[in-house]
Amino acid sequence: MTIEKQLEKLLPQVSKPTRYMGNEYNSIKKDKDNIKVHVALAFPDVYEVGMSHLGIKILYHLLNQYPDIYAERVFAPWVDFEDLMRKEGIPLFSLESKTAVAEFDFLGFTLQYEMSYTNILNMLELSGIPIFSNERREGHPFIIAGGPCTYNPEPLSDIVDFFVIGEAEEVIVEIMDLYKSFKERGESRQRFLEEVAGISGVYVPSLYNVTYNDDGTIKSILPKQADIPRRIQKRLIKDLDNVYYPTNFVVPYMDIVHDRAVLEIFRGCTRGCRFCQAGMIYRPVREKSVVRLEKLAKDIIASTGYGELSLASLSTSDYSELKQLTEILTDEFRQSRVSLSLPSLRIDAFSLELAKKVQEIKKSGLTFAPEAGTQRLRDVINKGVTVQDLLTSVKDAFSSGWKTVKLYFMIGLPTETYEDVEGIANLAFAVVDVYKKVHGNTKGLKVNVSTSTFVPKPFTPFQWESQITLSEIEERQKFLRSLFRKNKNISYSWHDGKLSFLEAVFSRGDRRLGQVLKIAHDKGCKFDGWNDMFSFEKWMSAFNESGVCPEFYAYRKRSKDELCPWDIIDPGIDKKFLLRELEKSQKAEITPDCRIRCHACGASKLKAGGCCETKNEI
Amino acid sequence: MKLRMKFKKGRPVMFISHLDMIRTFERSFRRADLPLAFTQGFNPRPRISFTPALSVGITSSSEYMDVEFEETISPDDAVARLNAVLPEGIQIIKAGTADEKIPLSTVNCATYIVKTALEMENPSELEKGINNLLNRKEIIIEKSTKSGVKSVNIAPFIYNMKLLSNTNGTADICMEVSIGQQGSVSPKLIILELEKVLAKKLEIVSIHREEIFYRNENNKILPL
Ligand code: SF4
Repeated sequence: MTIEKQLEKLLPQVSKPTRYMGNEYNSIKKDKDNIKVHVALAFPDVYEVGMSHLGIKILYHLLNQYPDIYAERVFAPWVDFEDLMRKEGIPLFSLESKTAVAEFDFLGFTLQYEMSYTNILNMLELSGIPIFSNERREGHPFIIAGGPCTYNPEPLSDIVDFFVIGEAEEVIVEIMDLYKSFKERGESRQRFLEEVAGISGVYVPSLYNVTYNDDGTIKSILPKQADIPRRIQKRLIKDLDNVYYPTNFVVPYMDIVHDRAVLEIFRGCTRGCRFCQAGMIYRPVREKSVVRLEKLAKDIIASTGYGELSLASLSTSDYSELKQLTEILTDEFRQSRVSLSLPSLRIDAFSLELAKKVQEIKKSGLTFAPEAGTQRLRDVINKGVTVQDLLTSVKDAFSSGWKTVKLYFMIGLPTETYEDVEGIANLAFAVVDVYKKVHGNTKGLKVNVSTSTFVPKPFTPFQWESQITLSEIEERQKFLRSLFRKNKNISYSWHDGKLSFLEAVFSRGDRRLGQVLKIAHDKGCKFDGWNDMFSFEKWMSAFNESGVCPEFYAYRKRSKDELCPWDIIDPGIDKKFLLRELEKSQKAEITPDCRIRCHACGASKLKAGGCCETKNEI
Repeated sequence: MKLRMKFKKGRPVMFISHLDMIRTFERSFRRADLPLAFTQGFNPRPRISFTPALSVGITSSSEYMDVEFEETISPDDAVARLNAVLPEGIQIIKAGTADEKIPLSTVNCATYIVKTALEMENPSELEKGINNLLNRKEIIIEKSTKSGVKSVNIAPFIYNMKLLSNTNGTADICMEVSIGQQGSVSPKLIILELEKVLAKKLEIVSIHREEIFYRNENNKILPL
């Protein structure tokens, strides 16, 4: 029986069968017999999450432009369907042609967050593909991975055949071209891996030897052969305005997490928040032009019919022509009732004006992210917001009718004291007071405070810092709960500290974690990012059995000259710059937006965007 | 202006929900560049109303919707433009004015064709079972509702039932049943009852909604 036939029988028994149907408008059908390369683009989470990420959609449409390449989508089946698949012997299959994943040439995973790693192992198992790369043979698909987590690829180095570091639009085509010629020549799997390692941005971990010092730190990561690069430079699209961008996005039937058309307006960020990895690794800033964006927006709406268009970037307010762009787009779509949404707005007077015009934010309330509770700590992390900024914007918002405010903070930032934690509460109380001043009472006001826990990330100035202990995380959350208890306008939520701990382990982990992943997977860990699925006990016993100590990765303050697992990657910015930023943070000195003045981070050598390294700072 | 449209929901979309269907149509109208009319207010919704929701997993060749446009559109034009941009499995069969037609909310009856698989040596046994069920004054089933389990008599909701074909182990059963507010019964439930009567397992292969309409003592009125 074909998979298609089996599905007709099984889907009525599962929750949300639309997850596995495919066949959405704009999804692509090709004749498998007429292609040269068959690529499965996988996202290690359920359909509605995976379909909400832009990267996999760009690659899907980009690869399918080539008649001899067929890219299909694969997501993680939810547990009810997984049980049925295992019972009925159905392998993991692609959404479009319902082909078993093991039959593809490539299986490419998008790595958006560390807590999806066990799903990768589970998906490989469901496909009948060996979990470790050294167990794969000729005829198995190549397992590749890209996305933000690959800036520290090491925890998955024993599993993934090769990583693609950085922006993939150009390099993926180079890889496909190489593969076509490799297939014609009929050479071995090993030979392909050696050749693909020669493409800039590609990291083939099996071609490197790792040695360790007695204290468990890394002594060296060196290529086994002379012609393999010692460091992998991230790929970067120089001309973002002309890079491929799809307009014929697949339109899902079911209500996915971000169910709207997405228009990417720029990449990179100039703010330089010291905890933020995205702000560092995507440098330098490159914008798309208003003309190009207007054309793309029209085409996207015409071909998808979406009623909402979202402008995507790391910090929407920083787009240099934002006012002009939003005016053009609101005019354009007034007739067809397409609303604009502007996520990641910095809330200041200008953005508020814009938000009022676009009218979209009223539904959900305004979001502010001061990140830390006191000015001192905000200076440490270089988050350039003052209490005054915040309260003025809040006042303006309350006067214009907003009643719900969300405040995002992090606990456990380097140098944080209980005074800083209390500052979080004080800021929330100050927001309540502003409302009282504006309206005379607190009727209708909702202040939602939420805290996540700081996770030190590779390629940030805080990459050498330690995470606070799990018990300390829980203490600080308890302290905040006690402070908020009496206020009925404030509701407080917090991110599970145990998850943050594991994130800290994996974001700065090394190759030895591959074994831990395997054991955790064998114990049934999957969908760890889903509250009801996450089992900390299983994870802890996996660490125990493997003999790998998680605290070594999460709690250890690293010395400046330690060789980090991710030092194999060259993200464009220099270690010198990160160290300078770390020193400044210790003195609570801020570094202004680099559009105002360049701080010589190193990204200018990538020769893209408008970087003007003047060296006048040091 | 308002248009009434009849459409089908085929196998490729049989698992999408009523809400998915509404979203799909709203987007399809925009792709077709047909100017939908929207409700006023802060969160404008398109002015489209549908006949009672079809259960997930059932195909249909007889769904209806009333659609309001901001401009005058010819029915043929609307059908052509919409069909060009609808996903595989959804298709507009015809369109026309909704004036002087019954309101969609009065639709109260549907015919279904249920394809079942069974092992039965004597086909007339099945026919007898169907007639037995049809002639009963009372068929009590247990329905779980929010306020606990309730006993409901579904016999009055079954208007008609007949065996269309019975060959090679599959039987097509046609049933005419009540739908909508005043009471409804799903074809699945009827098959369950039929199994009891026959003391045999009937496996449902597919359920298809053939037609929906307004029915009273002596009349059957189609929405379009
Ligand atoms: S080189 Fe200068 S301008 Fe460019 S990203 Fe780095 S700090 Fe900013």
